[in-house]
Amino acid sequence: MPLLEVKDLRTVIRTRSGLSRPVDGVSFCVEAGQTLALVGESGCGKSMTALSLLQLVPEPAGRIEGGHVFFEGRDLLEFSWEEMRPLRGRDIAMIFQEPMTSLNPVLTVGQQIIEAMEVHGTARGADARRRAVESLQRVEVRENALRQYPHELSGGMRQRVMIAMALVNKPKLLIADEPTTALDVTVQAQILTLIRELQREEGMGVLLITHDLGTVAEVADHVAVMYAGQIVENASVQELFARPLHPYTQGLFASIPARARRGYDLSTLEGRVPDPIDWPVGCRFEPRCRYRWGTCAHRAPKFQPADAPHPARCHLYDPETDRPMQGTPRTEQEQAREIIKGGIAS
Amino acid sequence: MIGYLIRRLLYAVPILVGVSLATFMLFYCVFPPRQIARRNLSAKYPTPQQIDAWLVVHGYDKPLGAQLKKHMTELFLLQFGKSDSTGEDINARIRAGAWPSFLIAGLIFFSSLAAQVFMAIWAAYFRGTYVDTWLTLLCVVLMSITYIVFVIVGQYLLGNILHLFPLAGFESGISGFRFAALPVLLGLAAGLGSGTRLYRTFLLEEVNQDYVRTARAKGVPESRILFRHVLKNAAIPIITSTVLSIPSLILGNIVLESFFGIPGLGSYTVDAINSQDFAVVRAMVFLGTLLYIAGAILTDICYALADPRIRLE
Amino acid sequence: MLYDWLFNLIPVAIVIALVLTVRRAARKPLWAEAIRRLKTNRAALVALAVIAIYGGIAFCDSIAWRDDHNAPSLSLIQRTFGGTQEPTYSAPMATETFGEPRPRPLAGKHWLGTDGTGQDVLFLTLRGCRTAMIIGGFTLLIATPLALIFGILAGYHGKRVDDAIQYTYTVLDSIPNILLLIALLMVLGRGLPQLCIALGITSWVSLCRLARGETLKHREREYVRAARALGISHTRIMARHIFPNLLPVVVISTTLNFSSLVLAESILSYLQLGVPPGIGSWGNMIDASRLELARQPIIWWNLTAASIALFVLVLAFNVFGDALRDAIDPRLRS
Repeated sequence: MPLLEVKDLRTVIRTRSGLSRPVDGVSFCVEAGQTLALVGESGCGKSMTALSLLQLVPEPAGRIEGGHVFFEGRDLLEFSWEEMRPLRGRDIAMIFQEPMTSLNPVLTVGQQIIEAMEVHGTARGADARRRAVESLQRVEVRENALRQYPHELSGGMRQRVMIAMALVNKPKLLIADEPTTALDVTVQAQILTLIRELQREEGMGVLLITHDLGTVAEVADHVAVMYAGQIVENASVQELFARPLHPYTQGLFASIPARARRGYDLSTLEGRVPDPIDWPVGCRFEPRCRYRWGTCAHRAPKFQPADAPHPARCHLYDPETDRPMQGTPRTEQEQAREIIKGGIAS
Repeated sequence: MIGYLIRRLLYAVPILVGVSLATFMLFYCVFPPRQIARRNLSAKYPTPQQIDAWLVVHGYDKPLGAQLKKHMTELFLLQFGKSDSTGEDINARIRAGAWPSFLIAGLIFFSSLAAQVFMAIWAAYFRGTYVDTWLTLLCVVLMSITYIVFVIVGQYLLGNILHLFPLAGFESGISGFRFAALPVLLGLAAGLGSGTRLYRTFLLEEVNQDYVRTARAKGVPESRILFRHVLKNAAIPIITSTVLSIPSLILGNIVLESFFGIPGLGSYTVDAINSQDFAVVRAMVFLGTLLYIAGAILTDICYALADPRIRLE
Repeated sequence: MLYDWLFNLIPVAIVIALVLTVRRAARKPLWAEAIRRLKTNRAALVALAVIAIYGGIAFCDSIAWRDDHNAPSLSLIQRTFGGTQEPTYSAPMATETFGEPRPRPLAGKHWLGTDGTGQDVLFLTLRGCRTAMIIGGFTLLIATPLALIFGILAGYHGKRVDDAIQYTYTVLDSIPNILLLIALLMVLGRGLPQLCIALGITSWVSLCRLARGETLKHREREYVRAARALGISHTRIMARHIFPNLLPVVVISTTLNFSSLVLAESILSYLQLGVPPGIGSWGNMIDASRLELARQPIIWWNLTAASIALFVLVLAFNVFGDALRDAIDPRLRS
């Protein structure tokens, strides 16, 4: 049984212009002892998915509309707020993107770490203090940080403190929402290595949310690619890097500067993510897809093949839709483009 | 900290100089002293000798420069001299009137702070629900009622009709509390609306911050979040705004004391207004300014103590 | 007679100016958006209607003319509601005088009763509208340009000009408002224009601070630097580039200040520093009611009428001011 199994999660937000659906049927699994990276660009709904797991969706505008979140077999969405509280910070811990604003500026680091233990009754007094010190040592932070305030620490140290605070109760699942995005590149690597080591030591599952494929390569065991509120591809990290199936994933890889050929323009994904208030009827990636043809705009692709180790949400891989040979563009314009490209290549 | 205090006190000096200069220009230059003398002498058509004598007694006969010097030194040494209308010693009156005034002002200040923070926390806890909406509406309504009406109607209802409190007067010592009760209650009610609304805004600003989301993700219960996380952070703007309440405390005292016949500094000021007594009014203006500046410095210190990000050097 | 009609043109001119300004503003996107948001806020619209009614009454009270060379000038309100003069107090809708050992019959019908001098309370309440509007409007007319000029100069030029202006307003601000008002009014004397000047002097500081802050923000913007590079004079930059950006803050601040000015008048009337009784204001009526409540049986209609009239106007301005602030910039909630 997987540690965390998310099935068809749907979260909506009421806005002035209408009902926005940032999470629109998301499904994935996280196994104990393994890291799943949830990849996607800003605004695709990754953070909202993570918040929905712990029922931390901002109210009253936001609301979880449907789906299941099975944690160790129990559906968390059936839990009330009070029933969720013992899990938060103890069985499931979450760390956030901005360590400066995510820590309370008027409480010391020690007070905040010890609080995590006090509210769950896992330790008290001198015992709690001792465990806080241990926890800081594991993330390689000096003991006297206990008495310091968040603004007295560097960005990297603050994130380490956040990790220490999250792990002090030895959670079974860690949700990390873009933990390194706000940090310097060198510090990023340290934090990622730290998360990886701690995961191995504790045997916990990690759901890592990121938009950076480099991070994915470093830490992840499995990858789920998210686009426009849905999962469009799901594979092990080796599979995904070797054979990205979904055109969006291919586009992501193609746009990494290191892969571009010298002297040629960087390839980019043209177009924009559609508006979450008004998801299109057909495939949501269709306007930007180089493989699009007639059916794509009218019929939403299914996540196929369903039980395979590497499914993708694209008509290209759906055995039931009629389409031309895999990977060949259909329209004349696109055919012409291919010829020109082939011409340059040769 | 000591360095900061000294610097603040030094900054206060030019301000006080400016204030005393402004009051001097206001009183001495706009009104010729002979007119003041005429107004204050009881005789209907005072003779020039009587006017001159009065001027000498009150020191208005000297040239303008000397008067300015005397004015400034008097104010800064807190030797306010004699009243224009009654001739009594101003300092003595101030000493006598200080206790009732500070009693009432102090009680209003602390009870207001407590009551407003309490109500603001209720509004923040029930934010978005009908409790919050009605509370905010109540605050806006209370804010729109003028102070005078609070006092008049309050005294009538609670004093006259319900006989809960004595109507007026004051006694020195501990029994003075009995007479202070109604004025304090009315002063508290009058300021309740605007303060609660302001503090509610501060609390709600903190509630939407990232660290509250982190605390929830840690499993901290809502009540603890409100008191330990939100309130502690909101205390910073709350403290900053308390300094702004000092002028309204002074105003409150002026109205309440004269209304309830309490012999404090406020009613002293009102009497001075009624008898056109400039010497007393300029003393009160200076004293009021002094209190305001002292309050501002005190508030800055509290602010530095509350916010670990600020270090006063 | 001609003289009267010249004076009557002033309120007409004010109303026309107001309407034209709003229409001109509605063409700019910022204000058009704010107006659109306001239209959806029902409470704000009701508040605006109330303010308009008060303004209308004040307007009617400002249009006055003489019937005859020697007769006093009477306004529209006076002609409609002036009614009959009674000898003394009378209760609302009563037929005889109040509180006298031998009550005398009344000459006319009084919906809200009469006060100590026998004047109709409804009429007095309506007359108070004009006073309140003048106090709010005229004071802001004095305070706002003062605050803007000093604030923009301080923020734009910086250094010594800034220091001097900051020193000036810190000195003024350090004197508790009520004490400064008392001092100013003792010196200037009682009267409506004097009251407006005194209130103007005490209330320009907060807007000045805001203007200075906003100017500092906008001074560093690219387009200001570009304008300087093009050689445009300082004054022109301040007037055409910086000032329009301050308008939202100015509008919000003035609307919210209006109510506190009207409230201040009532307190000053209590301290015998307000408007002289001849002009008539709600503050005067409330002050007069102090003794009325001590009588047996009490006289409550004077106080009630004035308090409610004052309360409704202040509430309307508070509600509208809040809605305006939210409509112009929801981020300014604090």
